Amino acid sequence: MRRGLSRRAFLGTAAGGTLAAGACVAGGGTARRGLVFDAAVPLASPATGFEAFQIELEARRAAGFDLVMVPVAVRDGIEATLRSLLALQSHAGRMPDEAVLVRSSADLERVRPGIGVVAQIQGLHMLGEQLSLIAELRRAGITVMQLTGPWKNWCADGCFERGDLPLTGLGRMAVRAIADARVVLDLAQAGRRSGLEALELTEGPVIVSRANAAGVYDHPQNLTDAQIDAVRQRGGVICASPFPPLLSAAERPTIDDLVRHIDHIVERTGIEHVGIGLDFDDRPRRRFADDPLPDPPYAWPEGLASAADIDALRQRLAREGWTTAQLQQLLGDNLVRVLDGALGPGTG
Amino acid sequence: MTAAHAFRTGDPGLLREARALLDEITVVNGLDASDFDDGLISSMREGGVHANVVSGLRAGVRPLMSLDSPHLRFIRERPAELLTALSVADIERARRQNRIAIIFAWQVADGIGENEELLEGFHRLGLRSSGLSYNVGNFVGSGCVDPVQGPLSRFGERVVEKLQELRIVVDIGGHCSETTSFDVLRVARGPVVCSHTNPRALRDTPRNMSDELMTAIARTGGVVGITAFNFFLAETGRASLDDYLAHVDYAVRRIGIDHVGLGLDQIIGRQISGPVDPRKFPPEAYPPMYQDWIYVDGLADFSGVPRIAAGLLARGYSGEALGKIMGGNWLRVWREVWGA
Repeated sequence: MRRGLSRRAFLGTAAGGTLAAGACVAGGGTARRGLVFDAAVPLASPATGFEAFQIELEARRAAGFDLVMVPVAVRDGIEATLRSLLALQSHAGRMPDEAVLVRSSADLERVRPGIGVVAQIQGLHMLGEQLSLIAELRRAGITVMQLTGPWKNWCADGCFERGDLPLTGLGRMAVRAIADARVVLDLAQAGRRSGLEALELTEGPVIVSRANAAGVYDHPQNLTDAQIDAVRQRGGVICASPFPPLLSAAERPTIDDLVRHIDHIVERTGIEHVGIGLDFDDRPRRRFADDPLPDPPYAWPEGLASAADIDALRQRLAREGWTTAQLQQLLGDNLVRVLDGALGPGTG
Repeated sequence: MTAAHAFRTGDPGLLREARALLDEITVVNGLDASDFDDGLISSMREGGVHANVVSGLRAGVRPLMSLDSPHLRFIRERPAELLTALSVADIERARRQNRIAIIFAWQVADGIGENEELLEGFHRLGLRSSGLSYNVGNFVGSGCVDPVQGPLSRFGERVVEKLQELRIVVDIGGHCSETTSFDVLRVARGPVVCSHTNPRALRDTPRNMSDELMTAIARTGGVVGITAFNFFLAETGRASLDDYLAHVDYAVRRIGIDHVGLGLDQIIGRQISGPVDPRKFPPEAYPPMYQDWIYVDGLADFSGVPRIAAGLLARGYSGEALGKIMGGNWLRVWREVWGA
């Protein structure tokens, strides 16, 4: 499918093409525009040490990225989470001119010429139902939180579960606590019903750090049109991902598949609610035998297999008729808008 | 229940007969939530209870949740009096030696975080029975007060498999949602129990159990333990011994004499009064007007256990039937699940 984006979408007149009332909109100095932001950068280095961290970040910087969102916890417990966060802080502290751990809006203006690191946890499992820890972890530097990974926990159902359950009572409270703590709620991997319910409940900033459109390819981690519409209504951003199982059923999906997903999201939401979460990581992800994930190495699209390949996507979309400004919204401005609005000017 | 029952339960002759019968059998409580201390032990002695499934705290720690286990130390310090039972043979040995057998259990499986392999270690420490979720949903499944209930999670299936592989008793129903519990029965093999609940047919609260689930548990060869907790026994929140006996009697009629046991769920030493955390104990299931946690008259501790036996005799239960309800059924299931 090689066609340009619909003119309607580009003009921002698609349903909800303008930001919903109550959505977080950045005041945004010019320094906060034009940043290139990958919302899914699972570094190995918080665990493996400073040299690896330096190499991994420099590779992103060399590929033209200004901001990377890094999970400090995937399925880890609280102790491993804190160790990982401390390592991240320590590593960033050792290269003050090159790396900034982003905790406030002001930090967004300081990331260049280095690179900004946004700390994320991929689920609240490690909190052990202690909701007060949400604000504590925010103060400690974690600014983006998923409710759950793809499996059920005490607050939400995961997208790989059979139950498709709504939030638990505690989960509902967690959603409010996340908004109160000025944490960005990340609904990646949440079950569909849990995710929709969270979107109904929250007044706070929302992203989906790696997901494509179920309307294009119905993988459980992809978003239904109802979810996409709800993210748009909350002023949120959906970060499209080249992670192969989310693209298509093909053995090796293509950049075309990714473009189709981006296209679908933009047609439903307008250009302001889409971002990228490249999620280049070849470590194993399957936990249970029937999880809908292949074994690594993953069949990344030809020409889009690492952060260094981002220009391929940029050029491809430019050929489709995307303007530089539109590309910049996809590649960073939209996500920066949400993060900027959420973090506020404080020092965190 | 009739006035005659109530009269005969208090009959001193019948009570002596019942107490004597208890001395001849092994009396087992299928779930206890008391603080684990000397008060619990002396209460067990007083009531003639020989073995107790302990899930309560000691020094603020759940059983076996620390390698420096306050529970194990407590037992170690009283070698003549107590014994950690890892098998039914241990329980029988304790009985012969006039020691009290302690069986360690969890009411909820979240002590393993997200790693079912940890059950290997907990089993070696002495874990012999585990619940899955406690009122609210967790990694394993949904809870009885969740507004929407669902099946076991992917991880929950693994937890059930691992528990069964290790021959740890799988404890469903009660705090765990009915939907999750039925899903456990889909994947489980052999006897599965509910350590402590009450028939929903007599008292309709989310924490109590449907006839269908009780029947399904009985079909596995398992046991349903009956609590002496007021909210779950009577609408008024004040229950009598006769109410308790009526629940036992109902369960026996419904699922058979081989599938009902004691699961008193007392909280000796930590009487709770006043409001509780509504997230875990919502008013629909735990009525606020009864939030002083009160047990059946005389059953706030174990001293009233002989009165349960007397009450069953008064209701026409034979000595043999009494033996099953008061302990034999639990021992049968444990022999089968634990394997000794």
